[in-house]
Amino acid sequence: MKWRQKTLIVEKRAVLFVDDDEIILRSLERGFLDEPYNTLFAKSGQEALEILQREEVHVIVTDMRMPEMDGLDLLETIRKMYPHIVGIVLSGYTEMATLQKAVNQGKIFKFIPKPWKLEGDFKKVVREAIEHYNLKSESDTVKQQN
Amino acid sequence: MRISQRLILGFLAVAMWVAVVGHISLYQLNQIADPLSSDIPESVELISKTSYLDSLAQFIRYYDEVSTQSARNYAFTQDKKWEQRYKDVEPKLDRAIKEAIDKGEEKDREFFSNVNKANHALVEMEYKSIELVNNGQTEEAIKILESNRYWDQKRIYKQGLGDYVRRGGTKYDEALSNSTEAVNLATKQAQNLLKTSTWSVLIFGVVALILAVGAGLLISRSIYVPILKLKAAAAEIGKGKLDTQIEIRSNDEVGQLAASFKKMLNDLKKTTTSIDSLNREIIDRKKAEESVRLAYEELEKSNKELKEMQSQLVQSEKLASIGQLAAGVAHEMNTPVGFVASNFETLENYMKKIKELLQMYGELLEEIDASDKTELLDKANTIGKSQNDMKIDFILKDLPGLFNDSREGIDRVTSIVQNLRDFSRIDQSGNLDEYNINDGVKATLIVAQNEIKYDADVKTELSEVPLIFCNAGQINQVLLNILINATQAIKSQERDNKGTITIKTYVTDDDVVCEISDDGPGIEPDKLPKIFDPFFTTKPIGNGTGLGLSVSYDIIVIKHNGKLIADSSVGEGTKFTIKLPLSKKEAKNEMEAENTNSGKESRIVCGR
Repeated sequence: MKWRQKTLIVEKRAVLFVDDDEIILRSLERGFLDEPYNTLFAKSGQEALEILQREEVHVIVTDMRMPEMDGLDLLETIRKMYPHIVGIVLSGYTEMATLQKAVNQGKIFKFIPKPWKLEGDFKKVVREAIEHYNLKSESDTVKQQN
Repeated sequence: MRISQRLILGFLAVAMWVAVVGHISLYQLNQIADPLSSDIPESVELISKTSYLDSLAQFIRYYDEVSTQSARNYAFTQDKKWEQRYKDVEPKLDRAIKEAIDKGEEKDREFFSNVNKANHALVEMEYKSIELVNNGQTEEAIKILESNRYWDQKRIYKQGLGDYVRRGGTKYDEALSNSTEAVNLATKQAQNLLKTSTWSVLIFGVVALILAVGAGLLISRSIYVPILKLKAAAAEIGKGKLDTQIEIRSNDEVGQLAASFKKMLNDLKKTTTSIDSLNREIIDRKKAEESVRLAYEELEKSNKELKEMQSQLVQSEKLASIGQLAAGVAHEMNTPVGFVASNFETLENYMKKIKELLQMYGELLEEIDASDKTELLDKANTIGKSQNDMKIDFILKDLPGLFNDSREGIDRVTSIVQNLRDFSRIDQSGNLDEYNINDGVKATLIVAQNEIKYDADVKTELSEVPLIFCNAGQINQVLLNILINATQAIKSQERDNKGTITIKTYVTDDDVVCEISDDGPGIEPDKLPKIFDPFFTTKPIGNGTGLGLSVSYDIIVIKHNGKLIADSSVGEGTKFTIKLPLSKKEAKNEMEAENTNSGKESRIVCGR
């Protein structure tokens, strides 16, 4: 029953993917088709923020280099407005400076380089992110009860 | 003392000695001559005078006889010739008497005066007798001549003369014996004196000789000793001992010569010193030249090393830009490769599901004959449920999209690779190709797009341009360099909106021109002239080699004989103008030859 409960919790979770390239978003949509959580997609930082206003999102996966609002800006905004959302970066740029900024300023949970592997890597990371979210919210609840 | 003075003095001394000696000898000779000159002539004169007077007296006697006889003869004969004879002789007598009075001594004069008186008386009487004869009074004339008075007078006259002549003879003898005596005495004295003076002259002569020799020796010594010293000194100096001391302190010509010699020596020393210093200078100069040569070699070596280093750096700049390019290209490729790979993985998953479903359908087909309808329907329901679980509807709807997307991804990768190849045309042989700068701009933009697109919008105004011969890869490298610089400049401003990069191409009479301008921060006027210098960079350490524009300059100006001009104004932006000369196919070889040698032209204009 415990597993079932967990699954239920996972099913209620939502992951938002942000990338300025729609083909990326489509490949992710079909790639994450069988995952038990909801998947949401945004073409820009602005669109992502709009979705966040409407939907409850637990994990966000974003590209770094995007026109107008880049991944770092988006992550920082989310950090302020939705501090519970777990951040993941999906980027082709693996330079140290970019990674450092994403980790230190974006407080991201994991970094996934492009090109990625769905099975074993990407999906596993997203699940871990959800579990991380769950653990955090559980401890928050315990803290509140106490 | 001068040598001339010394010589004169020496000669004077000798001359004085000789003079003294001569004087003494003269004195002695005088002593010899004096008696001869005084006594002998006196006696000789006396003799001659006496003799003369004597002869005069003889004449007087003779003339007197002749005149008396003539007068008597005329009186007795009246012959006119006797008168004539008388008149001839009588003046002679008169003259002789007068001369005797003149020449004679006091005593003689007195005597002859008496004679003259007597003569006058006689003559008077005789002339009277002649006159009487002439008047015919012969007797009276004879009377006068026979008179006592006449004969008295005649006697006195005759006696006086005879006495005189007698006395004169004695006197003459006396004078003769006196003079003979004087001569004898003088001769004797002279002989004695000659004897003594011969000795003294001999002694004086020897002394004079010794004196002359001594003086000569002294003088010559005083002359030749310093000359010998000088000669020795000259020999020493000749050997090169310039410090030889010349100890000559005389005031004579040798001293002057020595002084001149010393001066000359000093001058020589100076000259030698200056020659020495000249030599030293020459040596120093040679050393300096040598060190300059060494320094030059060193410099050449370092220059060579520097050139090697530069070429290495140019190479590394190339590598850096390739690296930059590679990073951009990698990112550009990561995206399509990422989704194609992802789609491929998904496709595998789709296929697994479809295969599973097809299996289920196959089993159902096999069981159609054997099983009953209800069982079949159940199975069909199960399959339908699985189909639903598998989201087969979505999959079937998605498949074309999946293929399209993947094809798009593969196209993007292909395009990138194609552009990369177009961009770089990595044939390092330096061959020139026909090149359309518009194609170059496009290829470069595709490659650089990923770098530019997040910071700047690119506007292109490309007009029809003719093909030119150039190294396409190199020109594209320049375009990329300038575009990346523009993008980085805009990015450095950290502005809210995107910047704008404008690329214009056009053709002029001589060139194909490409202008790349940005609205970035611009370059400060003091930095503008340095931008083409190697290693000049304003980018943070590690972000730029400082070689990009230097290499660009090399490519455009040196290798392609073109112009690369930078205009900038702080706060407004920067414009780079590339001018590539129009070339015809025939000019290709020429251009290739000229690639290596072309002068730098003014290329930096500040302000707009």
